[in-house]
This record gives sequence, C-alpha cells and structure tokens, in this order.
Amino acid sequence: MAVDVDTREGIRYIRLADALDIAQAAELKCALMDAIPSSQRVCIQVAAVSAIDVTIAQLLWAAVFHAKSAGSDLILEGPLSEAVDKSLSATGIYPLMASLLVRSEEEAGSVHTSRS
Amino acid sequence: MSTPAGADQFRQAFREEANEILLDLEATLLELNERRDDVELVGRAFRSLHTIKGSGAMFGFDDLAGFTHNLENAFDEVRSGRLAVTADLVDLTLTALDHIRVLLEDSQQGDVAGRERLLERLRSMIAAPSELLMETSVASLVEPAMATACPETRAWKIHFAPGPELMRRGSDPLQLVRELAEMGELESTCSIASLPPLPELDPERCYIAWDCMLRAPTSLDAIRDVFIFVEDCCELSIEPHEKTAVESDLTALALQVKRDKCGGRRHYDAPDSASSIRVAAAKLDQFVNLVGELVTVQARLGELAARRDDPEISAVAEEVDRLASALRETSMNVRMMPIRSTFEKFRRLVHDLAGDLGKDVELTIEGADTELDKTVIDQLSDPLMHLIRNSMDHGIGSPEDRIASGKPALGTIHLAARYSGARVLISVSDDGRGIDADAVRARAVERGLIDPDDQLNESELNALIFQPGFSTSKQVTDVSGRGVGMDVVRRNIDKLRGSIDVASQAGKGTTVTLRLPLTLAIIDGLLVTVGDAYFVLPLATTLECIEMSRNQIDSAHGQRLISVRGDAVPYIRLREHFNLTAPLPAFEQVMLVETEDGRYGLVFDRVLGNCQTMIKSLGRVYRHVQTVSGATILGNGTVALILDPNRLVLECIHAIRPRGHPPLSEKVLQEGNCRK
Repeated sequence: MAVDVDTREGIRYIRLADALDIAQAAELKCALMDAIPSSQRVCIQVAAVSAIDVTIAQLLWAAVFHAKSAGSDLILEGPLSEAVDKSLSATGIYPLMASLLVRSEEEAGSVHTSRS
Repeated sequence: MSTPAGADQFRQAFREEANEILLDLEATLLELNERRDDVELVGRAFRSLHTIKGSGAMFGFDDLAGFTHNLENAFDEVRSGRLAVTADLVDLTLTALDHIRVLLEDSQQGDVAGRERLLERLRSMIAAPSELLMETSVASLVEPAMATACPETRAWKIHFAPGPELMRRGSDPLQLVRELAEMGELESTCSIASLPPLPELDPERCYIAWDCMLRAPTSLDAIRDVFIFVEDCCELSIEPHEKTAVESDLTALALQVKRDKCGGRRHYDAPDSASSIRVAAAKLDQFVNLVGELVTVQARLGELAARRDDPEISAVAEEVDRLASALRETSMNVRMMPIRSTFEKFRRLVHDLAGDLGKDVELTIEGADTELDKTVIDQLSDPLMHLIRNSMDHGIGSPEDRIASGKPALGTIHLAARYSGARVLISVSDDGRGIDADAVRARAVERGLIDPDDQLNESELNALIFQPGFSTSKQVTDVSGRGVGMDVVRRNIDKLRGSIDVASQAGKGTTVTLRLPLTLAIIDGLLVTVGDAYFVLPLATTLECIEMSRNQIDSAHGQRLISVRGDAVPYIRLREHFNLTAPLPAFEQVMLVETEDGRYGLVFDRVLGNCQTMIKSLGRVYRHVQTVSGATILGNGTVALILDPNRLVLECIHAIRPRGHPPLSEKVLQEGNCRK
C-alpha cells in the first residue's frame, strides 16, 4: 500500500512507498489531517518512495507548516531514494524537499528518542 | 486490433474532444482566411493540429496522427515564415479536416488514395516558393529572430504558474520543467507562496509556481511548444533575458497580443473561474427524467398533505415542494447550452457553398450566447442548414447580378438568436433577391394548392413555400428563387413545437424567423378540465379567459363564434373535438389563444390554475396525434393531455378547408361547424 499508517509508542507513523502522485494525494491528505494534531508526534517515512509528483511534495510542505501551527512535532524521515533525487533535481523542488528531511538515520533516531 | 477494457471509453472521449477541436480549428482557419497575417490565429491552428496529432497517437489513431503530423508541419512552416497563408492552403486544410473526421469515426478506414492526394498537394505547396511570402510572412511580422530556429545560445526568462485544472487534466508540471531542462542549462526556482494551509489545500491542484532561467540554443516557439497542451490552463510568460531594442518592442507586442486575448493576467481563484466536466447526454436525460418523476411524486405528496390536514406532513410537503422546484429548475439549466457551436459550424458551409456557387458571401452571427435546451439545439442543425442553403443558392445572386442591381458584390447572411418571453427567436436573413410573390402564386395555382381567385395575404402566400413538393420543383426554384427543402424545415420546426415566419421584400432580401420553445422537457401551462378529463394549455399561447353562457351558444345559431369586445372570434369546443359526454355546465370558459392562424377560442368547463409540468411522450402508438404534444401526470395520478393549440386549430381548419381557401373565421360563419 502506498500510504500506510500505524501508531506505536505514541508516535503516528505514515509510511509512504512506491510511486506517489495525484491518485494518492487525497488519501495522503486524509492521513495527514487525521494525524495532525490528534497525535503529538508524527513521523512521515519516505525512504521507500520511488517517485513523487508535485501534489505529494506540496502536501508534505503543507503538513510541516500545519504541524508547526498546531503544536505537533512532525518529521520527514529519509533518505530520499536516488530515483526521487534524480527526478526532482532539475525541477527546483529538490532543495525544498531536502530542507524538510531530517538529515540522517541517527538524527531521526535521536528525534524519536528525545520525543518519545 | 483488440483493445483493453476501458480503452474504448477513452477513445470515445478522444473522439468527442477531437471533434470539438476540429470545429474550433475550422473557425480559426476561416478567420485566418480573412486575416492572413494574424500570428495568433496561425499559432492557434498549429496548436490544435498538434493536440489532435499527439492525443490521436496516444489513443491508437495512428493513421490520423500520421496524417495530422503533415498538416502540423505545414503550419509550422507558416509559423516560421517559410510558407504563406493562402486561400489554397486554407481550403486544403479544411478538406483535410473532413478527412480527419472520417479517420476519427473509424481509424482503420478512410480514403487512402484521397489522403495521399491531399498530402501530395500539401507537399508541393510547402516545396513551392510562395509569391505572397514576401508580403505576408507571418512570423517575420512580429517575431523575426525569436520565432525561427535560433542557432545561438540565448538566455530566456520563463514564468510558469499552473492553473487549478492543470493537474486534473493529466498534465505534470514537473515533467514540463524537466523538458525545459533538456533544452539546455536551466536554473529553476519554485515558489510556494500560494500554498494554502493543509485543511484548505485541494490535493489535486498545483499551487507551486516556477521562475526559470533557460540558457539554450532555442527559439521562443520551441519553448512555447513545451507548454502547448497547458497554455490555456496556466499563467505563462517567456521573454528573452537580454533583448535588442527591436526585440524589446516586438516581444512587448507579442506578449501584449497574448494578454489581450486572454484578458490580461489570470485570476484562477476569482469567483467566476470556470470549470466544467463532460457528461454523457444519456446520463443527463436520465437525470432529467428522474427529476420529472420526483416532481410527480412531490405533487402527490402535496395533495396528500392537503387531504390529511396534518401540519407536520404539510411542513414536509412544502419543504419537498421547494426543493423539488429548485431541483427541476437546476436540472433544466443543466441542459441549456449556448447556440454558438451550432451557429459557428455554418461558417464552413457558407465558405464552401460560396466557392461552389461562385458567389461572395459572408456570414454574420448575433446572439450566439443565447441558450436553448440541448434537445432543441440538436434538432436545429438541419432546418438551419436548409435555410442557409436556400439563401445561398437562390436568395443571393452572383456578384455580377448584385452589382447590376446596385448592391455590393459581397452578399450577407445574418444568423441571429434572441429571447422573446419563454421562446427563442432564431432568424436567418439574407440581402438577396427576396421572394417573387407572383411566381409563388402562379406555381401554387399550377399545383392546385390554391384557386386562381383566392385572396392570400403575405403570410399565407409565404407559407406556401413550405408545402411538400413545392420545394422540389426546379422551375419554381429558378423563377421564384425559393423553396428547396422548405417542407423539411417546416416538419422539423413543428416537431420542436415551434413556428416559422417569413418576411420578404422583393429585391431587398428575406428573413425566416423560427420561434422555438426554450425547452422541450417542461412546459408552463394552464390546467383546465372538461368533465373529468384534464388538459394543459401552453401558457405562452394564451391571451385571456372569458365566460360563455348557454344563452350565448344558443343565440349564435350553430355558429362557433364569440364576440370579444366587438370582434367575432371562432372557437373550438374541446368536449366536441374529443367526443366527451360529461354534463354541460351553465357557464363554459373560453380561453383565447394566439395561433399561427390568428386568434381562436378553446372552450372547456373549468380552469384549475397555472402549472409547470414535465412533458412525457405519448409514445410511438400516438405519434400521429398531432393535436396533443404530450402528457403529464398530475398530483392525483391522473393523466393530463398537453394540447398544441396551433395544431388543434390547423386540424379544424383542414377539416373544413382542405386546401388554400378563405380563413377559418369565414368558413365557420358559412358552415357553423369546425368539428373534426
């Protein structure tokens, strides 16, 4: 399933996988709206994503802003796959996506630990 | 070739869309024929061909795509200033569009030899240097350096903001930016300034805008081609980063032209932002039918509530009544369409016929935004085509004849539509010879339609041209200049519950006016009874209602006439016409109705009041009953017949005056009976 949601230890995990585009955008928005602000901690995992389109990218940005204003902690856990890196590199979207990601697994782990 | 499940549905959707594009393209070409140096029109034609080619290939219409590719190449040559727009090119392209239509219907068929001949003509047109080129090189007028191939690397500033529909139409803005990147060195910055908060975000819309700097050995047209499928649903500007002084002016001009066309900067979130979806006509008909059923049930509920006298039921019934009325109105509006596309397609007919007949004729259009029910519009094409063909063939003379009679060589056919109460008036006017009344009369006498001593007014005389057979006589056509296919026009308009009026002035021209109902599905009527039989009279035809006593009937000595403020008006008693044997009331009601044959009275027992009803067909069994245009089901479950006063009167006239004889009123006076 491209959008998979579960809750463990008080953290809402939204796992994204495969190629995501406009067809999954509404489902992802529902998942994000459901998670924020009902869960104090939200982790969106994007490592298994092979491609995204602009609707998914803008939903992720909007989710980060929404979480901030709602007082939720939201992280975007990478890394982005090489295919996504490549497809976004020329489009001007990559720098914005990269800025949302926690930088490493270690950093993500520390965020999880400190937040849990 | 086998196609996967669902592919046929997409192919059908492509056919429908392609047919719309072809109609638009046809109008563009005819406009281009008038303004051969219009860069925007050339661009529009090119983009239409490009779209048909691209989508055609995508849906497996390979022959169509291949054929259209050649036309697209030709218009690319025009765009680049290497080929001039000529009447030959326009005619050839119009013929090619007809061929594309054939390929659209059946991608495996089509006249292969004919297609090759067209392509051969096209190739030789492209190969031959055009004498006109020096004068009308389109691209060179506005974009000399930018439009043509540009071997030097240049910097271009591009702003691209997708509109709300772009993603839903299947376009991917990232892919477009990637295509730009493939052209050269691209620096792109995206802005999320328009991104709304998550709860308000439409997940299927792109809120991101791009500002790019492209350094590439490419031309303006090549960059625009990247956005060719999305130009109408995005904000786009392309400018050279550093321009020469001449280019600055020309670019400004080119962009100004573009902005003028789309009304300046687009505001997608403005309240009037239009969006639409394509719905199959059958689904729409089913929707309207169901609303009709609902309205019938709602009427029954209203009656039930009135009988029970229960405030709670009454409140619910009133609410259902309000909602059903709103739903009915909405469903009717959904079916309303502007008549523009029907009108516009006659430009091609006029263009082609003018060529065939060696005449110079322009078509002018007025009121194209007038809306009518889709069913009415669908059935209007044939009658309008006949009327225009008649005007072209017989009304408007040759340029020599026109000049000899003091008219300009260019003839005009004017197609107009306007509202008139609950009806729409559509007129076809020409500035031709007009109807030769003497020739029509002579021919009518010869054919036995009228007696030589019959006194006919202008309207009655003109009505003769709609007689079957009158139109097919070449002699009359040559002499009078009117008639071919006019009976077909009459039949079609009758079917639409419409009427025709002809006004003509010898030497000045002819105007044929069609009066049509806005819709065929619903009628504003007056509910009346005779005994326990219910009838609906169309409100649009009613004038006034007066009472008639038994004394008035008895003192008329069998003549079916009633005096209305001193005028004798003939009347038809519905109880006699329909052989109803209910007891006669002391006073009967006479509704005066305006018909094509003048003012008549329809006599019944009681008026129950106004009603707005959905019209149900009586079915094939009763298709020959012309006096009843349909039926409706009342709230109490009873069926009411919807009368057609024009037909009713006409049938009575024919019953006593089978051929062109004096008006009914005189006959009624003489014979005192108009029963069928």
